[in-house]
Amino acid sequence: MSTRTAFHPYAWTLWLAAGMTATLVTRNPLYLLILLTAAGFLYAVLLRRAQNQQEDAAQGSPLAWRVIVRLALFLWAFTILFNALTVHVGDHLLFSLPPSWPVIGGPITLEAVIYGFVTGLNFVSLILLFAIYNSVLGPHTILRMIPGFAYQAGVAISIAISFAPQTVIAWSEIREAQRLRGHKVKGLRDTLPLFVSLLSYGLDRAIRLAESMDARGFGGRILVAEAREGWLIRLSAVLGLMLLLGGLVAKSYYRSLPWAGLGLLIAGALLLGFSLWRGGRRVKRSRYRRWLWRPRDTMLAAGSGALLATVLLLSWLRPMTLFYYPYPPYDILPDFNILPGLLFLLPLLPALLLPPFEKPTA
Amino acid sequence: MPSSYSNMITYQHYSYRYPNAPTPILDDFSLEIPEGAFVLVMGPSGAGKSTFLRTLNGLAPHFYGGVVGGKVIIGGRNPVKESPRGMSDLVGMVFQDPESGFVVDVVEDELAFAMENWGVPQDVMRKRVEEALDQLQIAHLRNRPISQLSGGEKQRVAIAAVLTLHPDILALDEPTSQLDPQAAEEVLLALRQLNEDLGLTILLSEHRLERVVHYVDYILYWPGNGLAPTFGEPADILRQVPLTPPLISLGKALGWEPLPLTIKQGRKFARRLKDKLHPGPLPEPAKTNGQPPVIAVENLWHSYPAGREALRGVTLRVYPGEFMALMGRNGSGKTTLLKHLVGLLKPDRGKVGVLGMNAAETPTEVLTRVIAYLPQNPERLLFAESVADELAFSRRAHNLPPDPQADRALLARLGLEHLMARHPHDLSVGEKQRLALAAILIPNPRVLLLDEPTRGLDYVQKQLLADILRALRDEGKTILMATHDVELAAAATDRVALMSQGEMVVDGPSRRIMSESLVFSSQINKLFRDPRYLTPDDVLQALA
Repeated sequence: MSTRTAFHPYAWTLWLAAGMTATLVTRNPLYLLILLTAAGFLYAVLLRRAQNQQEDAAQGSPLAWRVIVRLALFLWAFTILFNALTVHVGDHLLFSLPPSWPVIGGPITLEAVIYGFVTGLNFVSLILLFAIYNSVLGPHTILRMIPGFAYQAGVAISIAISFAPQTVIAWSEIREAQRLRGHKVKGLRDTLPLFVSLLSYGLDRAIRLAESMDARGFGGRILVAEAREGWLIRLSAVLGLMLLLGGLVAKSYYRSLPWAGLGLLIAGALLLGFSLWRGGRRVKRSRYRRWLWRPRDTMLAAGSGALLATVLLLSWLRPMTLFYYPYPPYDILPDFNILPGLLFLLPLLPALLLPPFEKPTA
Repeated sequence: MPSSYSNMITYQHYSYRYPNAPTPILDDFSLEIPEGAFVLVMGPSGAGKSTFLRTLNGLAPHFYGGVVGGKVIIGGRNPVKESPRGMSDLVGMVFQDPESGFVVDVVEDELAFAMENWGVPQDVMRKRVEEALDQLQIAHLRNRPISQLSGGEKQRVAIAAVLTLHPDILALDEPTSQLDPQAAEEVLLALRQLNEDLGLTILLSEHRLERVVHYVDYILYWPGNGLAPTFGEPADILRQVPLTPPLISLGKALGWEPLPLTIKQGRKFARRLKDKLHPGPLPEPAKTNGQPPVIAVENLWHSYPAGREALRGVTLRVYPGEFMALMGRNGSGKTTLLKHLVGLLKPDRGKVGVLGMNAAETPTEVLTRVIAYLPQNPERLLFAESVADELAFSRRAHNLPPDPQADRALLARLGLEHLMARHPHDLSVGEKQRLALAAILIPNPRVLLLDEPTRGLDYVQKQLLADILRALRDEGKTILMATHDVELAAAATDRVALMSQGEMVVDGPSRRIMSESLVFSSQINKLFRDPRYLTPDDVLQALA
């Protein structure tokens, strides 16, 4: 079984939501470090599986995200350096740079280093969580979670996703071709023929794809009885959009009547929602993928739900638990409690629940 | 009328004209094709084969516009009225380049795409996906990303993806033209199976007749120029058409009856003929006369960033004036090797010498003045506004003075003179390719590298290309050509090298190599199993 089908996409989505919320509401570096370690371990596990399965070419593969994760780590180092060199506040002096140096001159403090470290930690955790989520599900699976009425938009995006890498390949082929003609690309003027070629390539490909989709019945079957509903749907969509616009105007210009603006916005959203829903239903279409909800999905969902609920409750009822600020007058040492600490290990859960790895049958 | 029921496809005085075209491409033809037939659609490029296939499901006129006349009934339905979308459960359409027709990323989802559009219930979909996976023998690929599949696998996925709607007709537009011979065979066998087991009516267009002619029940021949097509049994049609595979050409020249379509059928004629043949001695391989090689590759290694080793210790020497073929499966390293010779790729280890220069250290722009390279997609080389401009562009790029006289002479030589003012985009595949060849020949290079030059060419265009290449060789140019085309290699080259998995497996005179190999031997050689007979000409000369 590939990692792609190991968990239900909704369970993964809840995992992402919990992990990201926990990262966003927490400034305490100890908890964040625990979370980052857990996510890092999970990423390493997925990376090893992907290497065994040789999924390197897939867009949704941890291997494809390796560059971005490395970039995030580099940015982390940069954040620390930048903060340490530009913020000269704090009691714990590390060393001093000559004050005559612009911007970076002055005392370099431990507080500034730590603050940069925590900011970077937040950032890297978010990237890593996102990388894991994307690499496990892949862009196409994520798109399939889009509700029915947005199906056509989903397909369009899906095509755009596969279009991008192929355009990059075409671009390099065209550049090679130029060199084979003895042409050295020097200025902007020289790249013009490249763009012309790329454009004609893209157009050709789009036509072929459109043909293939048309021949396979894309666009669905619109039932005759419901085709008459068309005008109603279009009308409600237009009305909904107008109400939304009116609501926005009312909210920003007629501050004395806050409820009128809000009311218009709600009415507009409802009407628009209705038209999209009816429009989606009008086209008869079905879905192939049946995602299985297994016991391990329940466990992943429960764990992620617990993390999400707890961090939300903590940030509402006891905000100081997750709070941290290194500069005076606060203490430079962060608080630590074992229970929230354990909680931040929860993003590791998928790594423990993953079914044992099977060699792919080639 | 009960008789029309056994016909799956009926055209009556049908014509179709593209928008803005002065004359119809399909002009007033009538045709009946019975249910369950396996039909080869053949004819020169531009004769309307693709257009005809697109009239089956209404892509012409619905997708392209244009004017339709007469009547067409496909499986009791009218594609002009129903549109391609409505016909998609009756006619499954597979295109030349499967890659550009895929919508999603994973094999199984691609198979389900058409059914999702039709609103087929989930349990039925699952069943049909399983069936289609089995029918095309791709069940092991079900969870694989499509981008990782080989060419033959991709094409089988594309076929499976239209089968899930249970069409009665399968129309395929040159489905094997991008594939190597083995992958093409996989696809054709799968089609034969579908035709026999499910009774599907199959219409398939193809230029390389030797690949398909023994599988099909009928041939539909489009002569071009708006002339009406001929429809009939393979042997009858092939007797009438000018350019045919070597076996059939030989059979026609010697009046063999019934005309053999397969090597097996041909062997009994060959056995009888053997005593009448008076061959000369086996031609000696050309001597190199102690000249230094123009291409000297020593122990070349190359890996791609993903880690795949594409070349593993390749050594190759090509001497002045040789015409050499580089053969082997897709992915065996042929293109990688050629790209090293013009400096587009740099070796990990080993040496690449071209006319005494180190290719790894010389810029491509400089190398191409002495060693020209025609890549697999020649249309990528073209970017000017007209055919004449392309050559002018090449001269500017190489810092040569403009010389319209010489350009015209070169185009005339390649049979393109009458197209000087045309836009390169409007040329046929063969014309584009010869134009690209002209563009790289401008600096008068000593060596010519070609990557799959016969892809997508019909017999006429292929013959034209072979003649041009031989003429260039006779002028003293050295030619190295990567190709799957066994017949071209047999007819034109002096030396053949076989590559496999990044290694050079065999290298020697064409006659010896091709008569020893089973996969890479020509039709005529399979018939006689003798290095003296590779082409029909060899046999005919021995008879005289």
